[in-house]
This record gives sequence, structure tokens and C-alpha cells, in this order.
Amino acid sequence: MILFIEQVLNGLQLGIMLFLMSAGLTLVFGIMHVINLAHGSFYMIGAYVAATVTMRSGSFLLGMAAALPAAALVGMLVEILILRRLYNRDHLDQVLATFGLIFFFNELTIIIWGRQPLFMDVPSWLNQTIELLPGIHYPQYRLAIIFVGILVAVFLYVLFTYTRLGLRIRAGATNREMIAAMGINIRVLYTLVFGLGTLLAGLAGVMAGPILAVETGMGESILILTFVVIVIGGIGSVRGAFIGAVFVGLVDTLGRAFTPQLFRLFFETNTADRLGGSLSTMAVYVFMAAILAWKPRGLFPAHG
Amino acid sequence: MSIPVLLTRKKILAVAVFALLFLLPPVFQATGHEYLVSLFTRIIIYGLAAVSLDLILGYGGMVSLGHAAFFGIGAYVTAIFSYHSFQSSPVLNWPVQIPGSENCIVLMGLAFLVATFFGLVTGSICLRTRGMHFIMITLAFAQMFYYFFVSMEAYGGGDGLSLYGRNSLFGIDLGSDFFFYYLCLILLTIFSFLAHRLVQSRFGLVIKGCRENETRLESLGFAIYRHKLFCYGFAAGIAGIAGALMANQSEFVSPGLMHWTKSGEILVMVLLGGTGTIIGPILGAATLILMEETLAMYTEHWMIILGPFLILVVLFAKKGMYGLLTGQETKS
Amino acid sequence: MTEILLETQQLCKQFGALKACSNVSIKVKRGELHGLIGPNGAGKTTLIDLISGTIQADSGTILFNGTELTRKPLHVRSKQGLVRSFQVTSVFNSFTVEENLIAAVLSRSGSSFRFFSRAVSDSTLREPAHEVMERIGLKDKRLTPAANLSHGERGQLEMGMALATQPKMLLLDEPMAGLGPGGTVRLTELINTLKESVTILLVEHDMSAVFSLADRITVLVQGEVAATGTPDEIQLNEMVQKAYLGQGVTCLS
Repeated sequence: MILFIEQVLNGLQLGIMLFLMSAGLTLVFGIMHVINLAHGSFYMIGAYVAATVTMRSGSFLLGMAAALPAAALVGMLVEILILRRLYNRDHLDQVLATFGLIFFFNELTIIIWGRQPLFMDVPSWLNQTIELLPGIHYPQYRLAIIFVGILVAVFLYVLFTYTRLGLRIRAGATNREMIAAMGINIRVLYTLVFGLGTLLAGLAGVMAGPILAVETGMGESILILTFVVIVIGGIGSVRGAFIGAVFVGLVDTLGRAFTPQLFRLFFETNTADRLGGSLSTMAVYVFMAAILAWKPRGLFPAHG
Repeated sequence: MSIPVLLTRKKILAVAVFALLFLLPPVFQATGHEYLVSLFTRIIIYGLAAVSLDLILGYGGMVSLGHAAFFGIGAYVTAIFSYHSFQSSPVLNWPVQIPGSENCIVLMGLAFLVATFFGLVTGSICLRTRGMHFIMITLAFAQMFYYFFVSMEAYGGGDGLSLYGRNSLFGIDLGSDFFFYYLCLILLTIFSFLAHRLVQSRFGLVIKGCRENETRLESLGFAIYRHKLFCYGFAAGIAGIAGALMANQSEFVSPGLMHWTKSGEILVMVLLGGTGTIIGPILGAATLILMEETLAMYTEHWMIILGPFLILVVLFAKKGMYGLLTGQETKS
Repeated sequence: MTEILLETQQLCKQFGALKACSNVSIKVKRGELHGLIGPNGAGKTTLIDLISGTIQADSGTILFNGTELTRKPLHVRSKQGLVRSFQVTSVFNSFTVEENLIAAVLSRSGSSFRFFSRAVSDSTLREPAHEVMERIGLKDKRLTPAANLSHGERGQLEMGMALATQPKMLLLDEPMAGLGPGGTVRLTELINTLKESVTILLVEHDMSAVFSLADRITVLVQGEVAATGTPDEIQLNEMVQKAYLGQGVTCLS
């Protein structure tokens, strides 16, 4: 039981990371209609910058303060130089160009930082465990991640529902010409939206640093799950991204933890562990296929 | 440029490419560069995979980022059966006993069938979606297979599985790079020809229509889904055969063969060569692999050149090699 | 042979708060050319979309040739002989005129699951395609890619493709849009020749064309049927006059 609750919390934590990754990406999909495979690169940039600055300065917060603007700035630069030219192109072009970006960034990190992974320590002031309920101890750091994620979700909600910027972003999603006619500079808007997305990805990368290894290509592994979240949640919907992310985080974590045990009910131990182990990694994709069979455009498609 | 002249240019190019490929090995042998035979075998194998992707992508407009899954499945089918054959243990004990095999024909056939099967299964779900959804779902399925094979400890897991030599074909020693090259080339020629006929056939007309205007096709009365699924399954099967050849070529398989970045590589080959052309992807495979080899001699960080190069090609030079050589726009 | 080929009963479609079609019931007789007119935004294209199967109705029934087609998908309705043309021409741009028509013929002629022989060389496909090409007057543009045709020629090709499917009933959605006077005359002539063999539901803004071609006309206003009758009856109908001359009675949007 204790194990179950721990795994649920782990699932939530993974879900939050996925939410940070997918919120920005789903906006870029829904508003600019661009598929960006290089989103994982900004996650990676966030992690690398944070790791370097943290190691040099000894302060995790300083690392984060450096990484977030870095991710946002690189993102906006990429938008201005490259992505902007892809808005009217077909998806194949977008896939290929952003693929080229992945090659570039991955190799860049090898050139600057070498092939060995970097290791970030969990900041000392978050290094303890908290006793949530009698007998259930959970790392402070992971709780902090969940907390930060919820803050971001609230922030985005307020941004989109109550601010003019948010309104413009949502309007830009539905009617480009109208926005331009109203005198709002759509190009700047797009650059900002993209920058917001990459900043969130960078944030996810910073927070992931202490838990996972900071290495080249780390963005690609989380990107797949991010896509699954967006497919399930519905393209263009931040709300969908949140719900999808939580679901995917839970299904993936619980699936990996408990599928072998589930199989033990039906098979003898060795077979159960082998089969269960293999199938547990697939659990999240089976889940995705099931959702799609029911709702092919995801749970909350932004355009009706 | 009048149309009859264009056709001739295309035909000349096609014949030239295959003639060149047929003549290379003796030339390499004569000039003492025998190791190049192996390199060009890889080009031919990837060329086959790229041709299969061009069928669904260049002609059918289905941007799949998961095509390498079928490549990998074909490779693993070959490796697993060869492994069991060497170990003299059955592949499956229940519900029916299936022995291992190292027979090339059997394994190619199996690779094709298994890959086609999974192509149809995943395609039946993916093809219910369009556009960005489709791209992401194909990606997700490919990764599913990747993780599945990584978790299969019995067959090497993430480290991969070695074969104890190439498959056997009627007593011909496929261990000889020379003979193996020609086997691959013959298969490439056959499937390129079949693909060429396919896209010009009635079926091909419908598939080409899918790329451009599905609504129109539906209002004419075609059941689009069925056509796309069929095409998808067939392309998967061909990719499976390419995978089986790859397993033989390197005598090693690993889950990396089906990683989505591998799908991306094959996609890049199709683009570089020219989408919707059949011959283009073969040229693209050659371009990419030769570029990798050449650049790698100068710097181990050649990827940092390839990345921006790719971006530039996409932004400014969409015709691809095929377009350059035949002087026409490829379908874009 | 039933006298009524197409019948809609209480067809409804709503987009959010907008009632595009409200309880639309019309009957189209076999062999007639039935005009569908109404001010902009009256729901004419929506009705065509509903009948053809491009979109699904919220409620109501569609009966065609005795069969109920309400829930059937687009391609099934097309196979039954209920074919539409598109307001914004929707041809295969990279195909030649010939290939476009062959594709249309293919939908009715044998199996599309043939993988080896060349489609354009197939005489069972070529001959019908060439016949249609003659009829619509594009024979000399046989090998021109559709992308290179003029606007009027594309409209002709569009019609040709619909014809090549040997429809029982054609849903023509503003086929004269964007045509010059010459093109309009030619198209009117073509439609006239079709009147014997094909039942037609014609949506058009060009009033003179509709009134000269139609046997009967239905008027849609704000998603509802305002009147149905012969061209003479419609011209004299008060409600129709109000709707078109907009004497400040209703809000036309």
C-alpha cells in the first residue's frame, strides 16, 4: 500500500514534468500549426546550463535563474531564424527542419560538454524526506517539483483567462488575419509564445537534472511521452495537456511498477516478470491507443 | 521542356543508377577498394527502406515517423530465428513448436509477413488520424516497439543480438560481401520496379490522390482508409525485408534500428533524394551515407554540419537530387 | 421507379449557437432540375454538405432512391449515385486533366485494387474519360496539369469529374461562381444537356441561370424553407421578394 502511494506520487511528479514539456508544445502546435521535434533540445539546454552554473556557483537557484532565460532566448532565436519560415510549409518540411535542429543541438552539447553525462545534486535544502502520512516518506525535492508544476498550471490559467496577452494568444489561435487587422503584431506574439514554451521546457530540464542524468539526447526520450500527452490531451489545449500529462505520468509509472505483479496472478514468476517487464513499458502506448479509439482527436481538441 | 523528353530523362537516370550499382563491385575489386562493397551494400539496403517510405510518404502523403519500426522488426525476426537455429532451440514452444531457421528465403518471407502484420495493426489505428496527430502516433508506436525490444533480455535487450554468420541461400556463401551485395541489389531492383508499377496502377492513382485531396476522393466514392492501410502494410513489409538484409549485413541487431531517430534518418534520405520519385530515395540514401562517411573523416562532430545542412535544404532546395538531375520539380 | 428521388425530412444542423439548417424538408423529383436559392448565409451550402455526407446532420432523415442515407459516410452516398461538385473547385492539381477524369471513372469502373497495369493506358478507363473530356470541351487540354488550367477550365473539369461518376443525382454547389459571361453560357448549355439523364439540385446565385434552367425552385432563408414552387410562382412570392430586397424586416446575415 505504501509502495502504491509512493508510486502514485512518482507518477504525479512525472506527470508534472510532462505537463511543463507539453504545455508549450501544444500551444505551438495549436497556434502556429507547426510540429517541432526539437522541443526536447530546450529541455536539454535547460538541464545543461543549470548543471554547469550550479556546479560552478554551488547554488541550485542560480542555476535555475541562468537556465530559464537561456532556454527562452535560444528558443526565440530559433523561432526568428528558422521556425518562422516553416509556418506555411507542410508538415514534412517542418519535421525535417526540426530534425536538423536536433542533430545540431545534440552535437553542440557534445562539443561543449563532452560525451560524459553531468550530474547535478539535489539542492541541500530540499534533500530530506517528508512524512506525508504515518509511514509514508517522500522526498522533498519531488514534492517541490509537483508544487512548482501546479503553480505553473495556475499561472497559465490566469494568463489565458484574465490577461490581454493571454486573450491575444487565444485569439491568434483562431483567427490570424483578425489579429493582424487589430494591429497586434502577430510575429512578436508568435515569438513570445514560442519562447514561453521553450522556457517551460527548460524549467522541466532544470528540475529533471538532479533526478536523471544530464546527457546528450535526453530530450528525445521525454519528447515521445510528451507527444503521447498531446495526442491524448488534444492539440492546442493546455487543459488537455495537464490532464493528459497526469494520466500518462500515472499510467507509465504505475504500469512499470505493477504490471509484473499483475502478471504474477496469471503466470509463474519468471514468465510473469519477463512478460510483465516487457509489456509494462508498452502500457502507456496501449492506453494512448485506447483513448484514440474512443476519441481520435484527443480528449479536449482545441478546435471543435 | 516537352513531356516525351522528360520521360526519357527519368528513364535514363533510372537505368544509369542501376547499371552503375551493378558495375561497382568488380570496379572496387579491381582498384583494391574492396571494403567499399560493404559500404555500398548499406546504401542499397537503406535505399530499399527509403523506397518503401517514399511509397507512403512521397506518393500517399502519409508522414510517418515510425517507419523504422518495421525495419527493426524485419531485422529482429531474422536475428531471432537465426539465433534459435544456431542454438538448436525452438523459437516458440506453445501453442505450436516453431523451429529456428537460417534459410534466407524463409527468413525474408517471414520478415515481410511479420512486418506487414504489424504495419496493418498499427496502421489501422494511426490511419484514423490525420496531419500532426498521425505523425505523433506513428512516432509513439515506433517507440513502443523500441522499448519492447530493449526489455527483451533473452535477445540481448538494449545491447543487441549477434548473428553467427549470414543466412544461407541454396549453398551460395552469403558471407562473401560480393555475393551478398548482389542479392541486395537484385531485391532492390525488383522492389523498385514493383513500386514503380504500383504507383502507376489504378491503386497508385488513388494513393496519389490521397496526398493531394482526400475529400475529393471520398466524394468520388473511394474508401480511402482501406487504400491507405493496404499501402501502409505493403510499405511496412518491404521495410521488413530491408531490415532482414541489414541483420545479415552487420550480423548484429539492436533496438536502435527501430528508434524514431532512425525513422528520421530514412525520412531525410527520402527528402534529400526527392519525394515521390522511387529513384530519388536511393540517391538520397547514397548521398546521406556517403556524406556521413566523408565528413566523419574530417571531424567526429560531423552531425553539427549535417543539421544545418538539412535545414538549409528544406528551406531552400526542395527539389532534391532527383529534381536536380532530371531538371524538374518533385511533387511537393 | 419512385417519382421522388431525393427527400429530406426535418433536417437540422447547428454550429454552436448558429442554426444553419432548421427542419429543412425538401423533395426532388426524378429527372427534374431543382434550384436552391436564398440570400447569403441562408444555409444552402450547409444543406448540400448534409445531403452529400460531408457533414452529419444533428437530426432528420435523408432518403435517396428509396434508401435511407442519413448516417452513411460520404463515399457510400457517392457510390449510390448521389454526387456533389464543390464550390471552390476541388480537383487534383498535380494530375493532368486526363488523370483527373480517369480517377473519377475509376470510382465506378471495376476495382481500384489493381496494382500492376498502368491506369492511364487502361482502355476501360480511358474511353469513358475521353468521352467526358469531349462533353466538357477540354479535349485539347488532355495532358495539361490541372494546376495550369484557367479558373473557368477548372470549373469545367470539376463538372466533368462529377459527370464521369455517372451519377443519378448531381448536387451542384455554385458551379458558375467566378465564371465570366462566356463561361456561364457554356455551363448553362452543358447543364441543359444533362437535364434529360441526371437529376440535379442546383445552388446558384446567378438568378437568370437558375430561373431559366430550373423546373422547380426552393428558397432558403436563415436555414429554413421559405417557399417551393415553379420559377413563376417563386418570382411572384411575397416572402421571397422581402427576403431578397430586404425591406428591413429580417436581419440577413
